[in-house]
This record gives sequence, C-alpha cells and structure tokens, in this order.
Amino acid sequence: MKKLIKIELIKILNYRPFQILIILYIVAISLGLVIYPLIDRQIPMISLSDLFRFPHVWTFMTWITEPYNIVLGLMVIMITTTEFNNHTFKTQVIFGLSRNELITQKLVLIVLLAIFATLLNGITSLLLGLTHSYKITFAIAMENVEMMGRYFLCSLSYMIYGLFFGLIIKNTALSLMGYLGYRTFFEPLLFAIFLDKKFEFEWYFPMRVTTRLTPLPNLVQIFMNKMDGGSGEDIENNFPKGLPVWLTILLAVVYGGLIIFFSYRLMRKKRLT
Amino acid sequence: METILEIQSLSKSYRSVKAVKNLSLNIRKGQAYGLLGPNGSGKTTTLSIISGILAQDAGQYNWFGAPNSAMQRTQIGSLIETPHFYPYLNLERNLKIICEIKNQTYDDIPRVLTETKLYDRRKSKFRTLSLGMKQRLGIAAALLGDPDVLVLDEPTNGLDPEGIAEVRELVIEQVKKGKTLIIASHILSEVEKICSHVAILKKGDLLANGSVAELLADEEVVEVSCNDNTELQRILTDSPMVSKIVKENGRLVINLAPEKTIGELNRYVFEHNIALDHLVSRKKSLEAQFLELVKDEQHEKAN
Repeated sequence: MKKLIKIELIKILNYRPFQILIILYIVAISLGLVIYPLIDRQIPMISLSDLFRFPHVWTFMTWITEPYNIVLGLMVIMITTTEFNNHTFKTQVIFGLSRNELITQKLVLIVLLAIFATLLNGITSLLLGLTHSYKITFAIAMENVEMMGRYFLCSLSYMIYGLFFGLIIKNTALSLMGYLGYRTFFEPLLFAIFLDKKFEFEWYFPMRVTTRLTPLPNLVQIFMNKMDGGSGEDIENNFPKGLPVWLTILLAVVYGGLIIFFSYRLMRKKRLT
Repeated sequence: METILEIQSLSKSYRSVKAVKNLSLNIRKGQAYGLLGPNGSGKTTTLSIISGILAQDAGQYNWFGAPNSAMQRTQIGSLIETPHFYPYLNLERNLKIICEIKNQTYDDIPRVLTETKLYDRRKSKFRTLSLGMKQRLGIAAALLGDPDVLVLDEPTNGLDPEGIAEVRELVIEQVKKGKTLIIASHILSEVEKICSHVAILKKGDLLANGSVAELLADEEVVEVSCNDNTELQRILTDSPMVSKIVKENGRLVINLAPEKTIGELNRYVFEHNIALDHLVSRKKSLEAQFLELVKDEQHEKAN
C-alpha cells in the first residue's frame, strides 16, 4: 500500500494538469473565506452571514462546494487516461505490478484526494463558523458536522465515476466530455423528464444520489431562525424532498462499490499492449 | 540445470491471425536464448505473454518453476517493444517508479544511468529524449537491481550503429556475468553474437531450436578451382580432406572433412602438384540456414 502511494505521488506531483487543477480547487474553496463576507456587505436586507454561523455553515458549505468536486473528477480522468495514452499501465505490469494493483493505486489516490478535499473544506467551514457566529459552544459548533462525512463520500463518488469513465473510454478528451456531459446534461435531462412521474426513480440516478449527499439546505428556515444556537430541529427538516438521507448514503456506497467492482473486472481483461 | 522459464504449448490469436502456435520452450539458467524470426513471427507476442501484459489463448508458462505471478516479474528485467515511461517526468523519477514497483531502494539508479550513458541527462524529461536514448532508458530500467533474468525485445531497435554496438556490448557483458537472457531479434548476426541458444520462429511456428553451435553447420564449405579441375577432383575424391564434393559453375564446391582447415586443404593440393587459382570459404552461416529454413517453409506452403 505504501509503495502504491509513493508511486502515485511521484506521478502526480510533477504532472502539470494535476498541479493546475489542485491549485484551482484549493483557491476555489478557500476563496470563500474572503469573498462571502464581501458579498454580505453589498446586500443589506438579508444577512448572508447567517449561513456561515454554526451549525448552518456545515450544511451550506458542503452544498455550495459540492460542484467543485467535478474538478476532482476531471483530475482523476486525466490521471487515468494519461496512463493509457503513454502506455505506462503496461510498463508497470511488465516491471511487476498486478492488474489489480493498477486499480488499487488509483483508488488509494482517490481516497487521499477525498481526505484532502474534506479537510480543506472542513477547515474553511470551521474558520467561517468561528468568525461569523455570535455564540460558540462546542455542542453548537459540532452540530451538523457529520455533513463533512457526507462531503467525503460525495467527493469519493465523483472521483470513482471519473475513474470509471477514464477506464472505459481511455481517450482523455472523450472521457472528459463524456463525464461532463453526463453530469451536467444527460442526467439532469433525464431527471427533468421523469420528475413528478408516478414512479420516482429519478432520485435513484447515480449522479443525483451523489449531489443529494450534500443537498441545498432550507434557506428560508435558516434566515427565519435567526436565533443562534442549535436550531433544535432535525437536520432532515432543513432539506427539500427526495430520498431519506440513510437511503441516499446507502445508494452512494452501493453504486461506488459496484463501480469499483466493475473497474477491477474491466482491468483484468483489458488489453494493455 | 535449473529451469528459468518453461513455456508449454502456448497459443495466441488476434482474430483470424495466429500469432503464436503451440509454442514450447525450455530456458535454463545461464542460457542466452535468442528468439529469431522475421517481423510478424510471434516474438513480441511471446514475450508480451510471458511478461504478463497479454493473455494467452491456450497453454501456460512457468517462471522459476512456479505458476506466474506479478511478484515474479519484479525479479526480471524486461524491455518489451519500445519502452514507455511518463513523458513529463525526468529520467530519475521514472526510474524511481520502477524501483518502487520492484521493491528496491533508489541506490542503483546512478549505476544503470551511467552504464547506459544517460547519467548527464538524468534531470531531463523523458519526452525530450531521442528515440535511441529512450531505448537506452528502457535498457537501464531493465538493468535496475541487477536482475538475474533479462527479457529484451529487439533492444537495438531505433539505435544508430554506434548505439547498436554499445547496447550489444552491454548485453554481452550481462551474459558473461552468468545471467539468463531471453532476447528477440530479427537480425541474425545479433543473435549469433550474443546468444548461446536460439529458437527460430516463423508466423508463430517454431521452425528449429537448439544451441547456436549446433545450428551452425560444423562442416566448412569451400569453393576451389585450378587450371585442371578434373585432376583436382580426382585427387580430392580419394583424399581424407573432403567429405563431399560437387561441381558448380566450373568450380568445385567441397565440404571439408571434420577437423580439417582450409590451410590444410591448400597445402594438401599443393603437395600433389596443383596450384589453386581460386579458394573461397563458403562457411554455411546461421544466416544461410535461417533463410533456408524460412524459404523451405514457403516452398512447402506453395506446394
């Protein structure tokens, strides 16, 4: 395992697209620290800073940064397809990696990136919470902090889907287009078509499940509930309709697991020459 | 002697093309084994299968007497086809990745880069190398950790004459150190220079295999003539010098008896008062045999 991590780090730390995308991601997340308070000053009627108070900051930040995970997904696609383009999967097998290890090394990388993304987002949210809350107690600050766990799962899912697109399509440009097209166009279109039909299976689409891990909080309620301190309400009441949280999490885990399973299967049969 | 690689009835097809047909080989420790054949004879396919990057349709192979596993490949230095590395990484970092895969420390990197004359370029990105340098880096990677077994697929491909000579020298050195070498080549002289054993392949078929010395004709063939060829033939036919004699284009083509040299032949006829005006060695090289084998095969097919 340590060996696979070291190999991946040598590869990505010197890979220009990775360097660019990871900096973009870091800037995009941490810029919130600077930008959100500035916006607040320009809108006098509603105080946006309500969103950055504990415990709402956890739900709001995970929701608003959820699309940033696309960047991580694209990153994983590029890292995977570049191995096909350069035939380096083949080289690694020749020198003694097993085909399973080719997938494992990418999964290890994905987990590391998801941990990194979650920590970055967590620290940003914490700083926002600390600077915006009137009253801070440990209990209030830690309420809803489980959203970070859901963010981790969300981030993981985005990248696992990216890996799968890269493995199937192999070509960098086509994989990127396929992934973006599926995430931003194809699934939302299907969702719109099936919305409010009798069978509500549109909520079961993989990307929908992924995005629903960190859903839009009920903003009205947050703005109305100005009193700081625990909202006293169940976190679920803050979210609009859809599948129950436990089912969303379960589905995300099941989908991710299936994709990992098929990735290993795919690699076992893939021609590397 | 210890068997390093055992190949049993290996077969592989690409759609309708049979790349390797029922190939069986036994390669023992310390042998320098050449896979010789024209392009498309199944050399690279065979090496790709034993390197784990291609699945065979039938048959099996065993490295070190055990069923194949990824772990075994860490004990082997391989170069299959053109070497592929990360174009955006420098040579050192590329070799570090190989070291990690092979569970080695980085200590050996300077040595292999020096041996392949790439040390000065160690900080250059792989993509900036010339074709010959890339090939040399492939060899450097194969030499990492000083493995006892080397698998090289046309290692002199893409090199200039100087580079070819250097790489051959390097490979011969490895053989002299007692390493087991499996090398594919379509250049006969290369196999003759490097290998102790050879398997000749054509369109996936094994035409012949054995030691290079065996496959090299041990009889020496000489072409002679003088002003009286009839007299020459009479003298030679009864002599102990010759095992076979034929007339060809007004000259005599003779197979020297074992252990006899061309000098001895010359002295013998001179002592019988004949001065040769033509004496040329037609040593039947492996090349001629190779071409003959390949040609025979074609004839059979045509018939």
